[in-house]
Amino acid sequence: MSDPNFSIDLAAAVLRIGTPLILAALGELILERSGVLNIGIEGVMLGGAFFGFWAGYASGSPYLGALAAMAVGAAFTLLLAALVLRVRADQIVAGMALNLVALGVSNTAFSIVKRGVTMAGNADNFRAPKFGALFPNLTQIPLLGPILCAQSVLTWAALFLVPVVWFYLQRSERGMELRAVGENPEAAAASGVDVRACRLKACLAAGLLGGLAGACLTLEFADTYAERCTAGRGFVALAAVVLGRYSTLGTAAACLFFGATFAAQDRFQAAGWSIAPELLQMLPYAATVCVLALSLRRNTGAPAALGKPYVR
Amino acid sequence: MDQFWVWPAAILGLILLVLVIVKLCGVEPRDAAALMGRAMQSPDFWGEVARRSAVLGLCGLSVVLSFRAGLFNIGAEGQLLAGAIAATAVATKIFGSETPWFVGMPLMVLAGCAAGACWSLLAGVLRVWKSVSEVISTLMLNLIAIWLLRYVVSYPQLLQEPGSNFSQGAPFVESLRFSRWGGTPFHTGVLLVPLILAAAQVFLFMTRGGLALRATGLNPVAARACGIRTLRLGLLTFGAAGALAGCAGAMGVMAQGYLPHALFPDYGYMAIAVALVAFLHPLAVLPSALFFGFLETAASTTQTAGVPNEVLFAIQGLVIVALLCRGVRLPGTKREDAPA
Repeated sequence: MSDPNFSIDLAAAVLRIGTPLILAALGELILERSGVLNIGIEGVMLGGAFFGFWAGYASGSPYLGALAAMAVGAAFTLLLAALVLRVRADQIVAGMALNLVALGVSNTAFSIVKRGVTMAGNADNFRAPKFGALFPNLTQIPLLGPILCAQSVLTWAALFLVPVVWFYLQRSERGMELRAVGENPEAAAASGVDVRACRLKACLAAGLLGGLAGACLTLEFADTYAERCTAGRGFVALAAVVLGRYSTLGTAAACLFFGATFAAQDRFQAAGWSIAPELLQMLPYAATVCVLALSLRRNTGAPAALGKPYVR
Repeated sequence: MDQFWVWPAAILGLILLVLVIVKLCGVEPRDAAALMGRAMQSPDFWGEVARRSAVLGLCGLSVVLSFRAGLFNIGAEGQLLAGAIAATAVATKIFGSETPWFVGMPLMVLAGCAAGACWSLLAGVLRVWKSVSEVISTLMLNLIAIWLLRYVVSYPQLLQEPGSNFSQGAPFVESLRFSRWGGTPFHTGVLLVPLILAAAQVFLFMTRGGLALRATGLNPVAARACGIRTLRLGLLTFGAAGALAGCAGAMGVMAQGYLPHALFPDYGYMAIAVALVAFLHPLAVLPSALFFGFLETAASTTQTAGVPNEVLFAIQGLVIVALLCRGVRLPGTKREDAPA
């Protein structure tokens, strides 16, 4: 265990597995700070995973794949926005509907596309490139070099987005407006903020990031799409926002923690521990419930208007 | 509901959508329709509809109770699996081959209800004492239950059939299985579901407890002011909802005769659609569950012709979307409500 290579390896794995969680959770954070809860984030990720894979596979370019994933993610959250902002549907029910629609659309499209074609196999050409491959000099940096350069550009994008989102939410005027919309939409509207437009933009941002998070799973982790390949990661990202108490840095840290539980799964299995694999599979989900139970207090830090429909 | 044309229009739209998808899948719609026509003539098809609808009905009722009380318990899936596992444990580990049905079956159902209630109360307790959102905890408990099922059917010292290479539970003795009617999947347990739904209808709309439950869902602050102990009521609702889903799981395995590797996947989520189509009325869950049970059975029939049955999820999602657009509201979130 004290082997430095093992630690470096583990840190790299935590970052890699934490990437989709961070991307999805940052999007969800922005959306929740504006007062909209998106339970459909699992579906958004699944849609991103399939359509990112499909576009990447068809075009041979991981960048096109990522773009397609983001577009599909945004399309799905637009459906949510239509339900939540226009007909003022209940956010949780609308989110579950979005999950079902996304699951149905992605898996059906997959069944249609894969017909007669073997899509697995050598798919290196549409893999998200590793950062080290783009900037080989950086690999020379001790310790950090091997950890960071083994990551794909997606991880770098996620790490870059953390301070950006923090700055946007905490320091920019737009971010302050968005937080005001989430805390007290009537007051925000009275001071001249367009509440629905603000929430619509937040929905779009969450869709773009959620779709990209899904693309991580297929463009980087696996070479192919598998039904339900998100395996509850969207829901875990949802929990990360709660655990991070709706702060940017807290959310990112929570994502890394949950990333570590996913990474630990593989390590325990590889280390030959005599724990049943089925029990290890539960680890991230059980950890989510336990950590939430242990950490939460009365004041959860949630925006006051979270989940409530806004009526002009 | 002021405009009656929307319902025929919705059904027509649904049929068109299905035809387009069938065409996209490279199947001639005429062939698929012929396949369906043949299948629908056999009693097996309708038995299967009844078997699936029974599970959907109980889970749908579980969702109705939770939503009526203002609780977003979306963990029917996990509670169903917990019930199925407990019922199997009772049947294969406690009872021998000589167990009469009137001893074994009620105990299996009780064990299933208790396990489902416990699984649900985990989320309930976390919600009441630690203010953990039941949405997240029930979703996580669903995923945990799926792996728990795979765990217990994979080891002979747990529930796997000894000496079997398959990941599934040991078969129950004959007296602990629901008898199939005329060889179709229709079983005795199905008959219980309308009775339970009717009882729930009476409870929800004709008793003090039901009134308290609905009042809490409509406005918890006002309910508390009226002297309703909302926390206790919330916990009881979590328990009851879990027990219903657990009962569905227990009856599911009793009809199956053994504990399979995966049981009624995603029925817990479908149950939300069932409950919403029923406008959160227990008795209306019956036609609603039959409708979705029919869709499920139809989807697995046409799957043999090459139409992916995942289409169903999209249809269910769109049904919910359509209902939300038609102004279906959960209690406490009426359109006119100003946000508190």
